This record gives sequence, structure tokens and C-alpha cells, in this order.
Amino acid sequence: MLNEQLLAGAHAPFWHNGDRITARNYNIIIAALPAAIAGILFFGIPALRVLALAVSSAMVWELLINRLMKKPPTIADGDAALIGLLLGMLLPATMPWYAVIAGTFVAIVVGKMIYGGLGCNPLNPVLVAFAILTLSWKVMLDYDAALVSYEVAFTPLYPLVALKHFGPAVVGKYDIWGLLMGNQLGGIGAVFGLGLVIGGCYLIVRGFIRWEISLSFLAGIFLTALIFNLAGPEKYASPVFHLVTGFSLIGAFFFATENSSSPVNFIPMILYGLGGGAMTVLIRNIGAFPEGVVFAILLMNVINPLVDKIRPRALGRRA
Amino acid sequence: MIKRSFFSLAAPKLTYPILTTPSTKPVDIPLPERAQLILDHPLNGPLGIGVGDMVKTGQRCGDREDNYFISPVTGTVAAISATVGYMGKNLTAVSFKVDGKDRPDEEFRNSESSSELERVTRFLGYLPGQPDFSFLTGIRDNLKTVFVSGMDKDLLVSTNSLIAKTEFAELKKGMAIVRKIFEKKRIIYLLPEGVRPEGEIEGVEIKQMPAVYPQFFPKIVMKKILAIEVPTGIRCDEMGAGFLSAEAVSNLGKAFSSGSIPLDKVITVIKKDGSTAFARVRLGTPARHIMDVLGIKIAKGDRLISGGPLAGITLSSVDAPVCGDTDALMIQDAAAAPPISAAHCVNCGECVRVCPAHVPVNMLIRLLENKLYDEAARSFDMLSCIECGLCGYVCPAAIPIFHYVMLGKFEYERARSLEVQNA
Ligand code: SF4
Ligand code: SF4
Repeated sequence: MLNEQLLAGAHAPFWHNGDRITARNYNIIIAALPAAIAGILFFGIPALRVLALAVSSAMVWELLINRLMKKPPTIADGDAALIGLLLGMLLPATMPWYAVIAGTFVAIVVGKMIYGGLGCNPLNPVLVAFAILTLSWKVMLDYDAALVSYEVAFTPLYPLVALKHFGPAVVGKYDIWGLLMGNQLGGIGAVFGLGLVIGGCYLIVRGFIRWEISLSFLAGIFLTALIFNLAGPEKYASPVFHLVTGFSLIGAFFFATENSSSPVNFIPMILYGLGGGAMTVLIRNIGAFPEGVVFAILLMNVINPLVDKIRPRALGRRA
Repeated sequence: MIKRSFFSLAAPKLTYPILTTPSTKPVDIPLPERAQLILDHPLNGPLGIGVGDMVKTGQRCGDREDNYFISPVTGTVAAISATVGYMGKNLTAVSFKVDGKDRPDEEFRNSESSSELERVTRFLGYLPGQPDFSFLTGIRDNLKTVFVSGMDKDLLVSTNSLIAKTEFAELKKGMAIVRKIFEKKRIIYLLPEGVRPEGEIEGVEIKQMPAVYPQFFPKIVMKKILAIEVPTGIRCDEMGAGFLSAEAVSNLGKAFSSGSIPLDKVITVIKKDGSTAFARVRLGTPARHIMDVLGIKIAKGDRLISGGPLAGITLSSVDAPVCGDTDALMIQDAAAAPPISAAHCVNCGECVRVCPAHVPVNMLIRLLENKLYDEAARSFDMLSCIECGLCGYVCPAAIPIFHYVMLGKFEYERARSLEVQNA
């Protein structure tokens, strides 16, 4: 006979739409693959080595921290692998193994786990790691010096450095389509712009990233670069050049959109995106670094909690 | 179970089922051997009736004017005990041993000389469909609008849609009574878009709402139709609008035309495969009896839910009775239960964007996990929640957000009432 204990108690809702963090992470990995694979084809086995090392070492770091904190392993959620992959995609193919491993250590441990793991990080872990690598091993991340041995059929210069040193006249040599197709030096997974756009569109259509952030970030870059370009065409490159070079595209679709460090309300998302885009161009055009995406997004991460306070008034809330 | 679509950018809406064929006739469930009433107050004093007393069908029991119940069956009172409901609420359970045959009580019929208002307040407060007539007595003058909802609150539940579709004559009579009681008030009959009543109802406006969850929740209805936003901590009737279900109004019509108090409840039975059936059962009938008659098996680990998939409440026993507000009984297979996790919120914002009350759920959940209920109410709009369950439905981290919110509200109220006591 049935008795009370046989029934299971629970709280509503008794339905779920089936969306899962794990599936989201794996989908972001899939979306990053076109650009990552293009990077491997382009930079060869060394690129594969960096990506594989980044992914595996990120997972090992997370597992070690899980062990150390006596928590159940969390690497199955795909987040460590994703962090590793995205960090690898920013690095040049020539990055030495110890620098890759140091990078994933910073990303996983300093960027994510010390805050409590997935969802608790105030800053984008990958960008934290990349910023620290930039400050510690500047030369390794100088894409021109690092990739000097590559024989290429196009201007073998990191476009943003070329811009910084030689002005828009030189960068006029790059054609935009070529840049989008990956004819530029740079991070392994950051050069094939078209692949990043395809991956980004996939994530947007599936609702895994917030289109408001990606689009406003790109708009921020475009508008700010346009203002500079109109004010001094001989000094500042065209807005489209800014969109397809450096980390603009990978930043818009894979970094600015990281859940934990970005806003969720509509107006804040737009402000955050526009602000990040504008900062990027400001750093590129008048700052000390040729590339601005990393620091621009980190800066927006910092002010995200403030921006995200702008939200619609809740139902029945008295002013 | 409605899943997220592959292309989720344009978020699909959860739509209410609309009954198109009125052919779905409820199955009549025979009287059970035992019945039970759950009274909405703690057991703290005499009920005006004791164990062993004989009762007749429709008999008004209770010694106080405002505190009574209507016996749903003919038989003897078998037990009176304290019980607990949702969130540990203290309630009273009265069990009856049912005689095979109904012997109707005549007190209501003999009260014909009294006014409608008197008869309603004295006898009809516990009609199937759970009419809330509290707004009849207390703040009646304040009341400007009475809504009669021909739609159910939760998904898959179609009890009131069925009544709206099949009991037009009774509904019309009931509305006439409502008009008499609420002279000069605005009466609005709520229906989903695309559904029209069979004919005109004198003095009653018809308003339609999109059949999208949770449009038929009272606070949303008030905002959309009356442009009145009910402040947090205040009930809809305090802001001038009362809500009645179509079933309650139809039963009101039946009570006055037949002279006896309706005691049969129509329920939607939601089966494990998501298909639904209707049953007409006597109030107090145990769920087990209904399932036996319908041939539905309940296995170990299954869930028995009063209400629908988004905002229903699990019942702890298969003997739980059908109450005046049990619009649906849902059986969910153990394997179909969505997982719950202790994971952290990843701040994806799905809950924030789906919340019809604009609650910043992603922030709120952080406070609730740390039991900061005061702060949650003050700065993060916990009390604005209209209790729709959508946040939990979409959360990719599978956090039981809705449970947290309900617990938070409960603890907040409790702390406040303690403060009042100690002051
Ligand atoms: S249950 Fe969740 S989604 Fe619904 S009103 Fe409350 S907080 Fe918002
Ligand atoms: S849906 Fe879940 S994971 Fe996403 S912000 Fe809301 S609580 Fe956090």
C-alpha cells in the first residue's frame, strides 16, 4: 500500500526549460572552434601545442583546486576547458610552455577559484591572466617579434602595432577582407575574424550570449574610431580597420559577454558595451598600448556592478 | 514539458492551453468512503462540532458567524486534528466517514427570505472554486471592480476555461448575483484573446488578455486592465479590485437557482505524459480515490502536485483531499523531475529577463542564499514577486530560486510579526 513516505516532495516549478550551464559552456567552445582551427591551420603545430596545453593545464589547475578545497570536481561543467581555450586563442603560437601554464594558473586560480568558482568572479578570468602575462612577459606577447619566423604572403606586421608606429598610411596596405580572413599576425584564435563572427552569431541566435553586449561593444569601437578618424584621418585609422583587427571581434563575442562579469539589464548592457568599445579605441589611439580590448573590458568589469544598478522599477515598488 | 527552443534569441512564450472543443466532459467520480476538509486556521478551540457527530450534505457547521464550514458529505465526523500546510502553516483537518447516500441539509434552502448578501456571507464562502468573499464584508465600499476570471493561473490547468466554455447559463446567473451584491461596481469578465462568451451578459464588461503565462495573475491583470499597480505588501482588494474564479461564480448561480449549496469541484488531472482529463469530484475526496477511479497509478518517488507545473504545491500524501481551490492534480514521474543543484548563480540574467515583476533575481538570490531577508525585501524587491515560478524554470544553474524566494518571504513575514508581538 502506498503511504506518505513514497511521494517525493519538492518546490515548484516542476518544469525546467532544459537550459544548462554545461551545455552553454560546450556550445561556446564549439562556437570558438572555427577561429581556433583556422589559427592552427595558419600557425601550424606550435599553435595546436599552445591550445592543447592551455586547455589541459586549465583543467588540471581547476581539478587541483577542487582537491585542495575538498570540493567535488567541477571540470565537467566545461568552464575550465573554455577558459583554457580562450586564453590559448589570445596567445601567439610561439608562447613558451611555462608561460602558457602560468597563464592558465592565473586565469583559473587567481581569476576564478579564489572568488568561489564559476559565477563568482568579478573580472573575466582569461583577461586577468592575459593582462598579467602582458605585464610580466611583454616580449613574448609582442606578436611581431614572436612571429618573426613566419613566412607570410601579406604585410607581416601586427596591424595595431603598425598603426601605432607608422600611422594609417601604412595600414592602408591591409585590405579589410584579407584581415577578416585571417591575413594578419596576432593571437592564435584572434586573427580569423570571419570565424569569430560566425561563432558569435551562433551564440547570439541560440541565446547563449547577450547580443546587446556584443553589438554595443562593436558599436562603441566603431563610433569612437569614427570620431577620431573624422577629426584626423591622417593620424587615425578607419573605424572598420579597428573592428577587424586585434581582439575586437573575439572581445565582442567571447570576452565582453562573460556572464559573471557583465550586466544583465538592458540599459546597463548597452552602456557597458559602448563603454568597453570606446575605451578600446581610446587606449589604441592615445594610450600606451597598441591593443586596448583587454584593459577596456577589465575596466568595464570593474564598474559593472555600478552600471547594473540601473534597472526597471519592480512591480509595486514604492519610490 | 515545454523546452527552450533551439533558436532562443526570440524567447518563446509559455502559452496557456485554450480549450477549443467543449466535448471534454468531466468524469463523475463516485463518493469516497472517507472525506476530509482542510480548514484555513489552526486548531485552537471548539469547532462547534465534535467527533462522532452526524452531519448532512451541505450542513453549515461551526458556532461562530465568520468561522464555519460546510459539510461536503452525509456521514459522521471521524476525526478532528491539527495539520500543516505549505510553508508549515497550521491548519485544521476534519475527517468524515461517508454514508453511501447524500441526505441534503435544508438550512440554506430555508433562508430564501434573507437577502443575497446575507445568504452568500452565511453559506457560500466555501464554494468549490474558493471564492474570496472576504472583500464582501470588510472593505466592500472601497471595492470598485470585481474580476471574474475565465482562465486558470497555471499552465495545463483548464478547470476555469472549461467552466467558461460549458456552464454559460450558470455563469450568467452567478454574474447576476454578483451584480446584485456589488451594486454599481464595475464587473469584468476576463477571457483569453480569441475566446468569446456564448452571449451577452448584462452589466458585465468583457476584457481579453493574451494567453501567455503569467498574464492571468491578479497583479498583472490589475496593471494591464486597470492601470493600477498594487504596492508591495498590499492586497489587490485593498486597491479596489476583487477576484473571483469562473467556477465560483458559476456555483453561485447554481446555489441560487437550485436552492442547495454546490459541493462538487471540477479538477484538471494532469497525467505523467502531460495529457489532461477532467473530473468532477465531491470536495474532500482523497486524491487516491480519484486516481483509482481514473485508473492512474502512482508509483514510489512520483510527485503529486496540487496545481500546475509552474506554481503548484506538492502534496505529501495520496490521501490529501480536494479543497475548494484544488483546480488541478498533477502527477509527475520521478524521472521527469527537473534536477536541482547547489551550484552558484552564474549571473546569466535569464531569470531577470523572464521575471514579470522586474525583480533583480540574480542579486536577490545572493542575499537569500545568505539568509539576508530584510535586505532582500528592502533593496532587492523580494516582495514584488508575484509567485509565478518562471525564474526557476529558466535558470541554467538549476538553482531552486522560486523556493528561495518563497522561503525568504515567509521568514521575512515571520520576523516582522515577531517584532510586532515584542513591541
Ligand atoms: S517567481 Fe521568480 S520570476 Fe516569478 S515574479 Fe517571483 S521572482 Fe519573478
Ligand atoms: S538564471 Fe540562475 S544562473 Fe542565471 S542569473 Fe538567474 S539565478 Fe543566476
